[in-house]
Amino acid sequence: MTEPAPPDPMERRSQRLTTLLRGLSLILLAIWLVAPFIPLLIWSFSFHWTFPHLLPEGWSLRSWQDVANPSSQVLPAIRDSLLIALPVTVLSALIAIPAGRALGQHRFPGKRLVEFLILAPNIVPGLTVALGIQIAFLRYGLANTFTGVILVHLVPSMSYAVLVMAGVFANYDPQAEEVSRSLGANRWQTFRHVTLPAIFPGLMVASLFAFLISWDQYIATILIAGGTVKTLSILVVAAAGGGDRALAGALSLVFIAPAVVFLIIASKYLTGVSAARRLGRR
Amino acid sequence: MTAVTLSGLTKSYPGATRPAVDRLDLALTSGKIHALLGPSGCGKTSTLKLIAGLLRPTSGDIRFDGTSVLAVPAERRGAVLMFQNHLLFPYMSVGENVGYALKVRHESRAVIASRVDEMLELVKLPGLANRRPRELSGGQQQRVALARALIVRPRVLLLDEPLSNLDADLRDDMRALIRAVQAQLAVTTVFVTHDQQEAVVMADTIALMSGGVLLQTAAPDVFYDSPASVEVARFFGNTNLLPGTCADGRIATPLGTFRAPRSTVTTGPAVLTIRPESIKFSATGQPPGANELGGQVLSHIYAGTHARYRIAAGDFHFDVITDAEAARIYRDGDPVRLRFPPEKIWLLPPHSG
Repeated sequence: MTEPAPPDPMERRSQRLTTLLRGLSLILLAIWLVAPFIPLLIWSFSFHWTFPHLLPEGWSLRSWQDVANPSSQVLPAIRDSLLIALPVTVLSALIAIPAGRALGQHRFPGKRLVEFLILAPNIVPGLTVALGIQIAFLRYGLANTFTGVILVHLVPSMSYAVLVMAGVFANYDPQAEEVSRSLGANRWQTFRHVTLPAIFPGLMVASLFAFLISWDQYIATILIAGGTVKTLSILVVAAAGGGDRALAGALSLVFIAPAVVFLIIASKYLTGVSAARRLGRR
Repeated sequence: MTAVTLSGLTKSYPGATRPAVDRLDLALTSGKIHALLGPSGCGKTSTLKLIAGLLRPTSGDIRFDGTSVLAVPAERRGAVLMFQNHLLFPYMSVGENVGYALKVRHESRAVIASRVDEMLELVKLPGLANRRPRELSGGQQQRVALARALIVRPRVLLLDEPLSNLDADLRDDMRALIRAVQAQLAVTTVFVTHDQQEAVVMADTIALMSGGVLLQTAAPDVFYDSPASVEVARFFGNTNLLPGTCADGRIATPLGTFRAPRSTVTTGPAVLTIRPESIKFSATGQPPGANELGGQVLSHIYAGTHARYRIAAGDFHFDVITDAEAARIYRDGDPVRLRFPPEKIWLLPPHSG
């Protein structure tokens, strides 16, 4: 164990500069991310706000009362959104681990084609994909069901999750797993104690993507189950088109809340991906 | 104490032109250290993984104490692996690493803790259980990995290039430690290396492999004195090769006839080989005697404890190493007389390629 050498003045100065720049860029990033929400926030508390005025002419909590009112359907919409996004997230992660491993670790004939097919639904306009799927789902009785919506959300969610995990596994060395097996751990124990901790940051990022993509879906949900499943995004779009800007602003803020919460939780893993890479091979 | 027998062991990977391991027959005696030696890609690591149960052989059998273990999965085979890199699980403390094999066997915490302390004592790292692997030096990590491998008293310990990431002096320490711990626990040990020196220093027996095929299995000294083929002789650094035809304990070569009682071949084409240290200089002047030939110094290196010469004789070159006691130092261009002591000459079958 050796003590780190005391940094020389030049190095200390450059370190201070780095810290300063990092702080500055964080502030800029925060403005960039937060600024678009400020009008929404103001709208949501406005009573009356017309063109030439910089700020509303009157303030009100009406829209937030509307949101909180059971008749607004906000709570059931959040429930529907979660009932779809959470299973989509779990399923995406469950698919992405083995699929990402196959793509990241192994070379096999047709690999490029598989990668392309996973991406394909995201290249073709979502409307086209959803329209095609809708016809099939109508035939199989999946239209207007939660299962149908989950399956249709899974297409874009899973493809992102798989690509993230393929990147994680491309930098992953399975030797530790072999050591674990030889030490007497079965496949499940090896996955639980050796593989999972190594891929965990990447898995969090993949899950975050999967969740947010599902949470955001609008057209696919409407087309597959517009009559029965009312997710928050459907509510928000309806309000935005309805002319009640105050309500639309308040609903939008409710809509982005989980994204912000998840992002905060996952932020440490977003930076942690590189740490997982550093552990990787070669 | 487990004897490991490999018979006709073959591993072919799909798409490969030749098997990675090709009909390997090997008997690894119980409680000894065995080296699998060979250049990279010779199939030695595949052999290790086959023994561990991490690869399924294409054909052939692996037996521990006479019982086939092919149907036994890796986690129940009792053959523990240790690699050169990714030694420790980075997300676990040193203690958790060492106790891992007990944890997955659902031992109680108290048992694990006391066994971990015992093992850390054995590898001379007491009290480090709560450290993180990254806080340890390379040598310390190596010791922890050894403790982790040995905590369940494996039937077979498998080491893949265990020392190649260490500095020279650390390497000597680790060699000594591995030998000491191995002797104390008497666990059958197989290690893989491309370093002939390391194999010679550490192993009781060496199995030399090339291209998936076993070239020779023997005690280390045999590889120097009685290599099985020209290829083996070359791998062990012996470049003194002189082709000829042998009969009646003699070999006729372009440089004359030599008496050679030790031989793998008795008649027909053969290759004479002799270690650089075995060739002697004799006085020039008189006509060459038995087993002598004339030559000229091409180059020489004086290294204090010994001197190394390159000698030209006819169309052939010979390496000669003399110790510090040698009568004189020859200079480049000096004419010399070389003597091949008959008991040091070893005749090999001519090589195919």
